[in-house]
Amino acid sequence: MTRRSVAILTALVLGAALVGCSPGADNKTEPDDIIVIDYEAIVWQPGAVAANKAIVDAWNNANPNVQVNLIEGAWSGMLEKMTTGFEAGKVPDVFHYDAKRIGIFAQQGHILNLDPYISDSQRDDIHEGAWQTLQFEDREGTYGIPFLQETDVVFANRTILEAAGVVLPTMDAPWTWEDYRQVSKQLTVDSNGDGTPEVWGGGVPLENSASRILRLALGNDGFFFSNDGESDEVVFGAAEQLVPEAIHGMIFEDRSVDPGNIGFNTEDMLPNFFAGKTATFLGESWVRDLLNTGAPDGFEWVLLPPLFATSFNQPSDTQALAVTAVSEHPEEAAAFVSFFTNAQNQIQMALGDGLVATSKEALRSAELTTSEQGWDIVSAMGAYLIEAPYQRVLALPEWADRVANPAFDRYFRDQIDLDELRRLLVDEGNRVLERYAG
Amino acid sequence: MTTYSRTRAGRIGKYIALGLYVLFLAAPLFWLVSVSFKSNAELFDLTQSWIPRDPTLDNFIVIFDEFPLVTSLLNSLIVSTASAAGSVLLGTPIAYVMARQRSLITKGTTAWILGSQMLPFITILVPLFLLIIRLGLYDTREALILVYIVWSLPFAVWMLRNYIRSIPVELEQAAALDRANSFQIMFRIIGPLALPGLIVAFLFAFIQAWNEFFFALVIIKNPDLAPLSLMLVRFIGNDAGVRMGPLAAASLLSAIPNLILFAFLQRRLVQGLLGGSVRG
Repeated sequence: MTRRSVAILTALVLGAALVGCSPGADNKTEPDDIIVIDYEAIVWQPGAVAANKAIVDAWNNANPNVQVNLIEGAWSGMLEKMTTGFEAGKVPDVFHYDAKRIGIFAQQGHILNLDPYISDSQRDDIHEGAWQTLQFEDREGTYGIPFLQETDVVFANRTILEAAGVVLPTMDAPWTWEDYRQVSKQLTVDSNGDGTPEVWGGGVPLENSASRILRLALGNDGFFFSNDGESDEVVFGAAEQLVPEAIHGMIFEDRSVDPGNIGFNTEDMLPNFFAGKTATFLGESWVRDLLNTGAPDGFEWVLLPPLFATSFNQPSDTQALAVTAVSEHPEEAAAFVSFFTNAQNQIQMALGDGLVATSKEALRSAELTTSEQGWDIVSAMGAYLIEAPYQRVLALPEWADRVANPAFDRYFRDQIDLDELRRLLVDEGNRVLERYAG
Repeated sequence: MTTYSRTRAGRIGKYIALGLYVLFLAAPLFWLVSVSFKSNAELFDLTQSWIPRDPTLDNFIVIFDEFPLVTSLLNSLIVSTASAAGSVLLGTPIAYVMARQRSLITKGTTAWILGSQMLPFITILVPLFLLIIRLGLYDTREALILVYIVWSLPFAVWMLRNYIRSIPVELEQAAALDRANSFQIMFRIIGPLALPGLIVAFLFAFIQAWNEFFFALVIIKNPDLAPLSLMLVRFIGNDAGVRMGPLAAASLLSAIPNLILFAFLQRRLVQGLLGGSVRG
């Protein structure tokens, strides 16, 4: 390297150091009479990002004295960021996150109780199941306003179903698990009988098997946990075993579900679905954006109602906006949260993210009741999203990671039978729960 | 077989083996390039190919349209360059003293270097964050530069110490006999000879700062100051949802400055990596 090169490199480096130490690129200061609220959003789908920005812009235009500074964050690392921020007292005034984690922060005293700020009309408009995800037994109050929820539905290849003469289910005449097994068997094509079908009739992504089973089992009143008033206990009775038994039967008896689904998340199902190798699969409603952008030309898909057992019930997994307890402008922050989560804005966010709104008025709107993209079904599910008993169990994450996921994985690989699955879930599970008792 | 044939066959075999190894290492990069030019429809195709069947620039348009890519890239360049330069500038005199003197202080410094490498950074994240806030450096590039200098300094010192040790002390003695002072010895004797080692230390510190995520996540709030690492995660949602095409395109663009730097400095990099491995 010549001296000239070294000199150039050194100049560049020193230049970078000087620029690096210069004031930040955007050092705007607002006049003293303008309140600025920091709002961190973790939307990622293009439609949701645009809707989020539009809502913030609408607020800023309508409220010149209370401006919202939008910080576009990400799901990855949000827990660490907020945890560190709470410890140091440096957090945004308002942030968007899932209710489960907001609950953790609320238990630690970091979240403002919004009860004094929520209007009666908004209280009545949002489904009770959604509110419950932000209310806690040992702490009075409501620690956020929920505005989006997830629902599991069935996606189907319309062309394959119509060719097979399958009658599409509706919310009034849904498929049961037995119906789904029959239809999946009917749609499975193994023309050379080698045990590897060219078309799998059914599909159940089981990468996070415990989460999937718990969600689906609620429709059969399968709660997996009971509480005698003092402590939680794992249960695995007839109600709980319907779903895993049905899936196991589809994989090993009917051979209508690919055993490879054990390692798949919902997005992993799509290549086989688009190639016509999987006729139907269970998935979350947000996948529709990927179906729209990733499907080959001419591919026709249809969204079908979730499988019905004793009900359509599914756990309410809400996303919410919360106000931090250290906010210097709690009233203004709460007002922004109420505005953001009003019915009209929920419509935009639901459309952008492909999720279920929590507002009854939004769920009745023309945009969210159209049959296009299955919005009528997705929105109808809003009434069935309830708080599941397991959502209150403190030991749930450890039970799922250490006991349930490995046990279900072994069951769905046919390495253990139902009795052994029960033993692992209950006996091993209760050992984990004991450590959380008291 | 003649010696000539054995040598030739051996050479061919070596090149084949090296070529396969390079392919193995480079395969993820090739795949990244491939994915960045594929449409969503092609990404979900069951049959994947190395070469996009219907190449598209849509992913690149998305990342420039929806994200402040250029700003993030500049932020990463500034922070990484400044912190790498700081590590080398501070680390060189420390390494020189450690290489040439044996004392309690140098032994203590060695213990500090080794001990600091064993500490998971997550254990210091909260107290570090508190310190940054108290210094009035929250949400500034200076904070990141400072943190990254401190984070990469131990490695830079360790690397440079070993490299400087390989430079014969007789050269300094000869310079001292010619009445050169310490600064002159440092900059006119040690500096040029240690240049490959300095470059290696610079590159490692640069890459460490370039890829770092958690400190940036916690310290930076203003999107105009966010480095690339904070921007890339915005393509990943919850429930394992990923915008694969744009993420690949952004990742490819973020790798280019590193590739250029390595290409520019590769000869010195090799010298620096090998230097210090043999004394005398």
